[in-house]
Amino acid sequence: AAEKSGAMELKLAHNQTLDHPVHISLVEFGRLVEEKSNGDIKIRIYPNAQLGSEREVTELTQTGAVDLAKVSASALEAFESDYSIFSLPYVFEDYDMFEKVMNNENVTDKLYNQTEGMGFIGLTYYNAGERHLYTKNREVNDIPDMKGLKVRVQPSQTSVQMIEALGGIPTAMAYGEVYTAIQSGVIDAAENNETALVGNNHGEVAKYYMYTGHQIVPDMFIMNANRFNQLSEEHQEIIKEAAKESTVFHEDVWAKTVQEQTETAKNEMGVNFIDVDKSPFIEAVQPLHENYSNNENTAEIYQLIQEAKKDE
Amino acid sequence: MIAIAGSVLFISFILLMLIGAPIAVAIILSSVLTFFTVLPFDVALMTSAQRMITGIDNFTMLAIPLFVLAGIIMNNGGIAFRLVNFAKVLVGKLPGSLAQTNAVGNMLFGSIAGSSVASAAAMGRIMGPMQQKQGYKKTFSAAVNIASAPTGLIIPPSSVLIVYSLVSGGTSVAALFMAGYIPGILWGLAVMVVAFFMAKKEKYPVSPLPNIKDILYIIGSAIPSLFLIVIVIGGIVAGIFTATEGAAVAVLYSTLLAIIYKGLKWKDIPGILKETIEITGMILFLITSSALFSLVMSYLGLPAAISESLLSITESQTGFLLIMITILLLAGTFLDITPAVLIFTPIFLPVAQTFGMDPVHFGMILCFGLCIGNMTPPVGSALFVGATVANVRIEQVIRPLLPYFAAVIIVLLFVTFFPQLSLFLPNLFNL
Amino acid sequence: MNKAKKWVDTFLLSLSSILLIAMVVLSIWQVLARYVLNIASPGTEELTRFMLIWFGLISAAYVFGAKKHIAILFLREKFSWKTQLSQERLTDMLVILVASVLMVFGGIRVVILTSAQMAAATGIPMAFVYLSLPLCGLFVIFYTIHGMLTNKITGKEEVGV
Ligand code: NA
Ligand code: NA
Repeated sequence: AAEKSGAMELKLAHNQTLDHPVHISLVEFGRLVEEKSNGDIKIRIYPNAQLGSEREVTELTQTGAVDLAKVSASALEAFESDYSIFSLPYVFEDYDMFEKVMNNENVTDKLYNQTEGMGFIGLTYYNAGERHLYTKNREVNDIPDMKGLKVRVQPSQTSVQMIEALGGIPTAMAYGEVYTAIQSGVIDAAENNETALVGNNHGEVAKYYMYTGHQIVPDMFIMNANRFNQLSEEHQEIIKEAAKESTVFHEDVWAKTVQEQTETAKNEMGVNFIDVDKSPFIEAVQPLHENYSNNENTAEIYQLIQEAKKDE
Repeated sequence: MIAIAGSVLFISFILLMLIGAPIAVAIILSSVLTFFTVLPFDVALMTSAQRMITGIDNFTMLAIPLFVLAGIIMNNGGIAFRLVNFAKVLVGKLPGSLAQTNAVGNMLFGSIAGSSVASAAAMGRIMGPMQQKQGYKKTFSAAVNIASAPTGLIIPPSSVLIVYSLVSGGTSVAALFMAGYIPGILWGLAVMVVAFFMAKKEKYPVSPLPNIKDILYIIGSAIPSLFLIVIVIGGIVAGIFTATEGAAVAVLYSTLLAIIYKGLKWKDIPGILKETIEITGMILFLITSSALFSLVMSYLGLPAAISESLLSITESQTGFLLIMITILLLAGTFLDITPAVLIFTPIFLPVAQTFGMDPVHFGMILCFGLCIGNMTPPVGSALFVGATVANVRIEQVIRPLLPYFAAVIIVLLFVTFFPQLSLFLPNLFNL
Repeated sequence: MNKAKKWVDTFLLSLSSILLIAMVVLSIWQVLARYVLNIASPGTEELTRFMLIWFGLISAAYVFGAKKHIAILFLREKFSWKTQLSQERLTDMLVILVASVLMVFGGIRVVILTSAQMAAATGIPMAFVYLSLPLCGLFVIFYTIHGMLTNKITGKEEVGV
């Protein structure tokens, strides 16, 4: 083959399908790395959770069996409590604020380098959407509308507390069961980004989609720390640059996907999209903010984020 | 590189199995050896050790010990006898009525107990002596029992289908359960059709039906047992509870039933738990070893390579399916079902997906094909148990089994080439 | 030696039994919590999963002691008794190798690696979960050595599900 002799191969694992926006952006990352390094570094991608769940591939990245991985920030909570900050509802009021914070070096230095002792570092993040509330047949505009609403939540304490704070009844269940559960009325609502409506067909059973934007949980791009440190400075720079550029590239791919799927949900599935005033929701979850700012594990990152928000 | 590593994997695996190492140990050792060829010692070791843990870390997997436990409680709980009487009412007017009853009994009891072994043992013990009294040949009775015992592995609830769900990356258990009904019942019917002709040839008697009062009593006493299926499968399909929770409900229900029917005693419990632990300890360890095995295969890119070479032999879906069925039937002769499902799913599923096959339909072909191995020598659990309880030697029962074997393979071909047989019910319930 | 094996058997069986019963109870609790009491218990599922890991590995260790892991023996049985015995001893050595290098040594390495990791919903240290592997490795080694000393041989293949 025309392979450059001595080319280094980096293994990259993630759990999405080949047509998912993040896979496309990771392919772009690989292309950029190869181009910038003149073929010295090649990226081999293992998509589709071929090498395991997000926790498993994080562990593979720790041991060095894989070099790079894309995992949700929520999967990293178990490894480093700083990442739990993304579960805190309305820690970012909107996506612009999120972007501003995630491009602040005080925040990212802390977040990305904190885990070096555990064997991996962060390189960048990818937009994985804003989480919004959707219901089977009930419009939710304000906190009183949440009363008695049975909402499926992710299996984390923060998510449970969030729904409780908003007045709903949190129900923990596996994501794969949400469709049938909404259909049979076991739950009234779930919360996720727009792609759940079409990608998981939830739009067939849930007809109201409220733009509550309560959480923005990004995907994180991580790398085995030893592997990174062993690279030449030039190669380290290339990896970092390519990662950053692929994050920018990803914004467009993601936005396009969300737009397409929203159209499909609206026109083909009859889902109603509703803008809501976030302020009562933000107010209702303030006790959770106090928990985070008082907890010693999360106080520092919480503070850094608040400062980054104020920066000009 | 991939060729070397792949050879290490398969050659060491086969050698280890040939010297009689436990299959799980053969899987683990060959996987770790293969990892050593591509990763540093330390990394390979830690990665493998981790996967041995995370391979069991799955809530759905809990359904397996729970269903096994429920099955064992049922087996001890006087349920088999009531179902036999019920089966007799259903098919008692057919030629060879006791053999027909045995087949239906296996479908009902196997469906609840979820084990071909428990089913073959329970039915063989009850039906064998009755059949001999009416002049049935021992080998004929044994063949019917052995051929119909595996139906309970396909008719839900079914541990085999749960194992497939896990290893295929979370195919819906509810959908697989619904998919199992038609193929499983067709298997049972195929056995009954063959038994029909054999019994006619041998002029076996038709038993008289009990009087209407007895019939009503028999149906009445079978209802609580049958109701278990309604609760568990109904609950899972309606999304009221998960497969795992359904299995826990099955444990609860069968315990209550066993207490009412037979006065399940405290002293029976340790034995029941021990049997469950022995069976599930073996299965869970196999599953977690296979998680390591499939990690190694994916890491090397073997499924893609195998898939490519299969596609280079044949480009048609029909060709691929025929090759696959042949391999499954051959493997099933000597491999037990659980390890076989674990080994072959990651190899064949990616190919099936390139043809756009539904993972539920594919899983049904795979599990059905491998379950046939349950009744074939040299290693077949239904065969062993069925022959043992009938007090015949395995060699004696092989010839009488052949027509059943042929009939079940015909059903397998139908299941393979008519996807609707598997997909009709899941689609009907929107699963 | 036989007394020690009995003791280990009883210990592993009791622990597995307790875990099995607890998992049944927790699973039923989860259904009740959802429908009757309207509570989300995100920790229950995680806790149950960790119990399953311990249950699976402890039961697997016990099954090593009972020599009931599925093996394919019909080929081996064609050989002379002497050859069979040496195949059995070779298998025992391999089991000890896997248990000591992978389960015990590799397992301890993983426990150390994951020492800072906490489970998402319950906050249980992952090291505690991973500890099941080296521990079960030790029991497997014990059983295998016991089997070699008492000259036990795997019987006819046990029939599975
Ligand atoms: Na069954
Ligand atoms: Na067989």
